[in-house]
Amino acid sequence: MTGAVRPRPRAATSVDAAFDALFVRERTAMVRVAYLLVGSEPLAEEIVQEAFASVYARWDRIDNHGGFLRQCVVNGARSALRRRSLERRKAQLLVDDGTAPAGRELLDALAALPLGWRSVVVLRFYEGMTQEEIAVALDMRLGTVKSSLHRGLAKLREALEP
Amino acid sequence: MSDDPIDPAFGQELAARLHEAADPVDGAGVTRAGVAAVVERRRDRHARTRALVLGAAAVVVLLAGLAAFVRSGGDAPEQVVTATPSTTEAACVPAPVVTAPAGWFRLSAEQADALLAAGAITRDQADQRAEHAVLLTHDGLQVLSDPEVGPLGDQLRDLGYEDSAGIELLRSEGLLTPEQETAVADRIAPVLEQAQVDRVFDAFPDLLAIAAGGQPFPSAGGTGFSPSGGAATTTEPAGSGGGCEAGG
Repeated sequence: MTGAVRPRPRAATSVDAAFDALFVRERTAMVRVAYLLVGSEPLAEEIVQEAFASVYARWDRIDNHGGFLRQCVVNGARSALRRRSLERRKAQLLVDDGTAPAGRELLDALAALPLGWRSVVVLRFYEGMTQEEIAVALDMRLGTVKSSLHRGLAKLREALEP
Repeated sequence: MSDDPIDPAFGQELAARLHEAADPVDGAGVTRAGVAAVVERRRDRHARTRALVLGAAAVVVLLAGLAAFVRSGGDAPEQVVTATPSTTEAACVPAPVVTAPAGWFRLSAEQADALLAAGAITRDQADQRAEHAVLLTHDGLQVLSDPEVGPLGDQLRDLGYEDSAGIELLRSEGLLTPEQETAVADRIAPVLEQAQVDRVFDAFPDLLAIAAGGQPFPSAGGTGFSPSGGAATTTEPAGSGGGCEAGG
């Protein structure tokens, strides 16, 4: 991180070291989560880059950096999809041309879910988080996580199983 | 995973397919330098926004002083400098768009504290932030866009629920309870029953703004609320957006 970003060098040193560790540990996983949420790798990278910037800017005031990062990724995906929905009345995922057919089917099925359900499903089954962890990370009630998971999985099953 | 409402076999298959689809993505486009650039860009933007707001406030004070000077007959230039703007003397007010509702927002404790300290929300709204979204004005959003608070204003804007159609639909069909109507009138989002959420989903299947499933449904229902479109362009024009008339 450049000195211009952090005006206090002594504080910046420890913050940057901790942030670097988080960045290295979470970058790829977060891009993949974002990819599953929005279906586009370039857009996923943009979302994650913005999310890391939000975490960095608020580092000292965040207790759960990983949770806040995931919240920012989900919020970034929501924002990106909302922007897209303004361009396309009905929001659909834009799947990269290079996506394998199996992956495309899954991404299309995910795209049919409301983002809240989609986020919970991805964090539960891609990241392997528990429902309690998801509730904390996304600042949702546990009951909401459970109902989102239940309804999202039911929809996915309809779409994916022959 | 034992309490997941799905059979383990489907869960395992789903996890495998998610990994199959996403694991080829390496995220190489996300770099520390890129993150640093985003941080820098945001700081610049906040600085510009702050300057605009301060500039707009200066315009209001200047015009108020000018109004006082005109009313004084123009024979006391010092009064222009020292005149204190008041609501009765100054016909120039901030553009209405700034004080108009921007949307319902779900607040963190820190965000609620900042808004409460700035007088943008009430104590009741802050205390109920965990259960209810709060209707914020663009002024309120500006509080959270202050560089000292960080990018929360942007984040909130992203989290905003700008669609009032759901609440309006429920109201038109007589499905809002008196308690929910009271909550709307108090500028906090009503907690909806699952059946109400389902009704809204049925009516608006692609309404991303209410994608929170069974979560309390933040929406807008107050009179004069503009459902959408305003939030993205409304934090800057405090003094430049019109509404100013020289008093007299």
